[in-house]
Amino acid sequence: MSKFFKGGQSSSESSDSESSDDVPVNRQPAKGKADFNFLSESEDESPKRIVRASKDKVYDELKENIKTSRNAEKIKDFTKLLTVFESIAKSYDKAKTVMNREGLTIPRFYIRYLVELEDFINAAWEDKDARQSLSKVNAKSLSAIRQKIRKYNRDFDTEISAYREGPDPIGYVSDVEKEGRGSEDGKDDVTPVTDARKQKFDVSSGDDSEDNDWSSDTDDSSESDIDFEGKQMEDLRQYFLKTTKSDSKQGKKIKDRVKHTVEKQRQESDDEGWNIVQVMGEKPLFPNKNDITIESYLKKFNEVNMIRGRKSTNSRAHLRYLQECYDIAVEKNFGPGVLVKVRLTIISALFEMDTKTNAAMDYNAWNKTREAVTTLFDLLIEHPQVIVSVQTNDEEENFHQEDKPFRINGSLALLIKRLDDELIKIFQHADCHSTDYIEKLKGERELCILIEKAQAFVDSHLKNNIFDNTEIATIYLLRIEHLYYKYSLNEHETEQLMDTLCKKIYALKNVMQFRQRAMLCQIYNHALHDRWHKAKDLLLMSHLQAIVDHSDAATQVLYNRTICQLGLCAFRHGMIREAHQGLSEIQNTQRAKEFLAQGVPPRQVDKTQEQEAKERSLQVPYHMHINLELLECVYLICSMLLEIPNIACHEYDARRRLLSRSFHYQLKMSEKSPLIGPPENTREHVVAASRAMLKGDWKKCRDYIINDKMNAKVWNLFRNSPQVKEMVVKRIQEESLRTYLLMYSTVYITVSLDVLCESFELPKQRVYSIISKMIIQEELSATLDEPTNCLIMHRIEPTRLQIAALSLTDKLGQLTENNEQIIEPRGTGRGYAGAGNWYVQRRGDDRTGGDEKPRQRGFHQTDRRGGGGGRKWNTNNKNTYKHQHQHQMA
Amino acid sequence: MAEYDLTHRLMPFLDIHLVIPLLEFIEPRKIYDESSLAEMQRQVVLKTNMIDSAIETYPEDNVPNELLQRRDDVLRERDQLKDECDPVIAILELEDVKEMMESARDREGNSKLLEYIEREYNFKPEMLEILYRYAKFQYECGNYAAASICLYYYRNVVPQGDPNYLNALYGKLASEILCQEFAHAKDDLIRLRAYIDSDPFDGELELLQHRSWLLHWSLFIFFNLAKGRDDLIDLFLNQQAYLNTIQILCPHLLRYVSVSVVISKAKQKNSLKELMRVIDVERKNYSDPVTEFLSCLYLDYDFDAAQQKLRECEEVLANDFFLTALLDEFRENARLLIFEMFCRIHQCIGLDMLANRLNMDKVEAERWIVDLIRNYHIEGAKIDSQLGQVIMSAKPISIHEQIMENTKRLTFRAQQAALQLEKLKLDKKGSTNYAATS
Repeated sequence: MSKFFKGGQSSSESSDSESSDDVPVNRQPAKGKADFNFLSESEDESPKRIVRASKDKVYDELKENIKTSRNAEKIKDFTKLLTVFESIAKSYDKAKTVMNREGLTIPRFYIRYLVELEDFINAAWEDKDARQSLSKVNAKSLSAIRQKIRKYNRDFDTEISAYREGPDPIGYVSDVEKEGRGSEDGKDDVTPVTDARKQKFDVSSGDDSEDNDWSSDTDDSSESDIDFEGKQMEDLRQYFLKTTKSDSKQGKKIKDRVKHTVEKQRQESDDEGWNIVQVMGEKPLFPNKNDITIESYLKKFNEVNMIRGRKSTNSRAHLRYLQECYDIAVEKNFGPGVLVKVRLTIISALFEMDTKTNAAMDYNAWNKTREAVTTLFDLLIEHPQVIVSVQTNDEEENFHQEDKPFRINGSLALLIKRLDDELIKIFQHADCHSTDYIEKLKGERELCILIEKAQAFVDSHLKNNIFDNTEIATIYLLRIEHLYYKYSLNEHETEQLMDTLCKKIYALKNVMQFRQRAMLCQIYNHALHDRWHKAKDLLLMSHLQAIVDHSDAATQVLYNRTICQLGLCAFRHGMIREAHQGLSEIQNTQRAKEFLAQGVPPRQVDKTQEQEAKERSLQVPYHMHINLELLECVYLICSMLLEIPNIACHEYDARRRLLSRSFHYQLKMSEKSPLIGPPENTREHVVAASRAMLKGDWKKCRDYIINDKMNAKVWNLFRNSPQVKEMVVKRIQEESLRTYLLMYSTVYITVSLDVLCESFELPKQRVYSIISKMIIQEELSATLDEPTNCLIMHRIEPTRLQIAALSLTDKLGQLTENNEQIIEPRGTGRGYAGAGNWYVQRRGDDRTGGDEKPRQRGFHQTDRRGGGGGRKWNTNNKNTYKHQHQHQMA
Repeated sequence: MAEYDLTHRLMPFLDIHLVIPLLEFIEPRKIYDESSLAEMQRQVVLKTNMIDSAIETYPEDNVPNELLQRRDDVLRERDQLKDECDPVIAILELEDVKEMMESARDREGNSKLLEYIEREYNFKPEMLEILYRYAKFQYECGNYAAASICLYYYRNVVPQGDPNYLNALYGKLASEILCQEFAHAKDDLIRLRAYIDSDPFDGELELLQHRSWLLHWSLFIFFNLAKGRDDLIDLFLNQQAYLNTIQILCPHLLRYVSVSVVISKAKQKNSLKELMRVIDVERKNYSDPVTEFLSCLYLDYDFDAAQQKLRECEEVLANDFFLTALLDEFRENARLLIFEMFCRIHQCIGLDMLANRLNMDKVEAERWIVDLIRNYHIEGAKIDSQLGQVIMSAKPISIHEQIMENTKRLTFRAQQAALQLEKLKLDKKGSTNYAATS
């Protein structure tokens, strides 16, 4: 048995079992008919007996047996079937000698019988419930016959597969169909079974035969009552049987030819919109164009529509028919309602065309679909009396009666949405580094134009209430989503546009999901255009941090993108702390790629195929990517600026609070390496700079951060790179100064402020301010001497015992804190704190700090314990310091 | 100067009658163009029923006729309302009713009293409406004392669910403020706040709106009572809901909070940090010399700029309706803050520089510092008169001290935890018992 056959079998299993289920019900009439058949058969046979070739004789014997076998099949008598099959095999052997003598090939009806029998047996075998209900003898026979037929069929392997591939050569189909029926002597109840099987084979045998199959289907429906006499049919079949092999070959050739022409014509039609592709053997919808009335037209249209989505339907042919319908409607001037209706159907047919292959739509097909949608909108704009709405149900639908308002069921918004989805799929499946991708990007622009048109359409129809909130939100959101990630030179205008679009969505009711997305897009857009405060305020006001965990994956990805963009924006503004907080959420996890949906991670141990596919479908198209290297570099620079002074400050702390895990990892890695070469990539540059800063050498640090290599990879990617670089240098100077003071405070008794100003190239006022801040915050144990302009250090190197004692107290405090947490869990803002309390989020000096949850649970837990708790404890501690100090002052 | 004047920012949150004193205050300061201000004032007055005041704004022989006409209308309406209202007030002024009113509790929701007078004196529900209208009318006419009395009665009779209840509370508060009965006004403020905090509104926005009004109206009270500033800090800064309101709707109130914090010795320690946090967050949205002074001092450690801002503050305070009386106090306390900062950072400060920073001459500064050291017991600060220096002998915290500090509260915290645990256990037992019995 061929593999191919197996596949086909299992896929059609369900319908097969259905049809076999039908059999017992029909048993009674079948029997009655069988009696009748015997009669007619004998009648038929009598004139034949006179002239009968030996070939006919053996064939007749075979056929007789086959008939009995079929009857046995029907009543599921496997024991009988087994014996009949054995006798068939015997008589076939007999026939074979005759055939060899006469040079005949294996008769087609015999092959068909074998195939059908095997199908039936397999179906019976698969249907476990039925199998169990069989009697013992019967069941035994079933397994016996199953094995037997398998073995037997192996000899006919080639013939069977040939039959399966092309049971119906072109032009011959309907005849075979009739013949199939005829061979069973017009037993109508059997026909559906064979028909169904036939169709199934057709499906698996390729799409071209389907064209014809479809037409044969209609033929069936109109001619089903015509009865053919068995004999006549037999003769007809005989005629073909003689040349079965060559015939099928020829059929194949024809098929190929047809394929070619179809394809050629398809290509042609690509160029000139779609004309009707005339295929050989295809009938035009209306034989006579002149006498089409609206009634007959609609009847036909419905008929065409009925086959939509069926397995057997060839979508291309279906499309052609619809197109023809459309042309006729235009020609006959059936009114805009009909046109819109047909258009809608065409569009959905276009969408369905390639669904069998799960990859993305073909770009050209997409373009065509887009054009179709555009024309639909043009049509609707031209004929405002036609209303397409989801609120219209099928009964209310009216598209041809002129006296009533045209109402058609359908969602225009979803059409656009679908187009957008398909385009994203196209992008996802395209090679992002090829020129092809750029070519496809043009589609995005076209789509934007279409969306704009749709939005204008929605706006103009707001009053007549034909769009529900979700639809309006969909259109607006689409507009926003095609806008938010693009940098516009005309900043103000874009901001206004974004604002009006988003506000439209905010004003709608019951569209939470849309509102979230719109808000994220607006924040992203603000951040992209360096409107830091607006972006931040909107994020804080939206409570998004609290609710994003409960939204769908796509929104979470968008949230992550927004946070990253916000981080970059903060960096450009010189808000290092904020930038660090924003970026660390993504960067600390080592899974930035995954979180931003900019690439599927390589290791996929614990993921099912389904998850993987889902992840793939979420991927952000390449042109919307955020530069990951830039993100990482900015994050590391932020980490450096914050962490290096922190390291210097907490040199003796037993439990250093790490601000940034991954930065420490990088730093440690470089410490471990036996030989430190010149830095190569951006990461190494930052690490080298960090080491320089730790020594207080700000110039070296600066040179590592700002040089040609880094310019190319990082700095030139900022729009306002001179300002950003200036800011970074300034921060490097300041932080280096801080680090220097902290690191060397034990070495100095006094430090001259003037010298500091000189060596760090900072204005005196700034140095003064930095030192003051450090003293107040008790990072630096020192005081200023104003008359001599000196900093006097008070730092005493602690002894080992003192360090140990300090760390002990530290740990005790931590222990108590942990215990308190266990008894009374009070998170630092756990989620949504209720309406009106959004301010809570602003409480900490951190914007996204403690209450921010990384998206992934596993990581999150470990982080909370270390980070969140620790931070809080730390501030408590500081408070007590402060109080004590203030007591002293007072 | 106009850029720091808050009058126009305050006005949207105030009743029109409360705006009038603000305008009267601002008039002689010559901040705004005189004629436009006069016109503004007239427009404001015209919106009320205080026709006489409006007439005063015109020259004697040039009063528009319709104004005179309107005055007659108002008088007629007043008489009419008075006639309607007199029997109502007569009932409410009976001795026993008054007694009940005074002994009544808020939470009873006035129903008892209302039932009583309905039963005993044939008080009809529509009489409430008459009373309310009369009170409103009196208020419109500027007869605040009468309005206040009427509203007092009304408030004690009307059920709390009545849509006019809130209006009556506001009206009573405004009347008391305008009568300058600030002690009474404070009671009304508390009542109003309690009502607003019970959130009888439809949405967040409305609640926010009422809170912002309450905050603005309370300024009149807090800056006119002796301990008002401490109460102001309590309400504005320590109540999260109200702080949110300030940040969302009216960050300009931060000026009043800042001044209060600088002046208030009692509250300063705890609230300064919170205030600085808020100022830092809202820096972008609102800043004036007062908040900038604080941010220079505590966020940027830029004493020169702080000094500069302090000078600007004086002018701002002098021209602020609420703060004008507090100018000296503010200046003094601001200097103290600067000096404190100096002491913390410096070991040795030249008197010249200090005097300059504090905006005084040297001799004055020396005297001031001497007073300061004596009055506030600033530890370790000494004046070296010969060298002209102030010397701080602050000693760094020793590690020993640090360890003591770290462990000081551990016992207490452990005890707390144990107690908490005990309580949890009991609760759990209780709930299981309950589950078992039920």
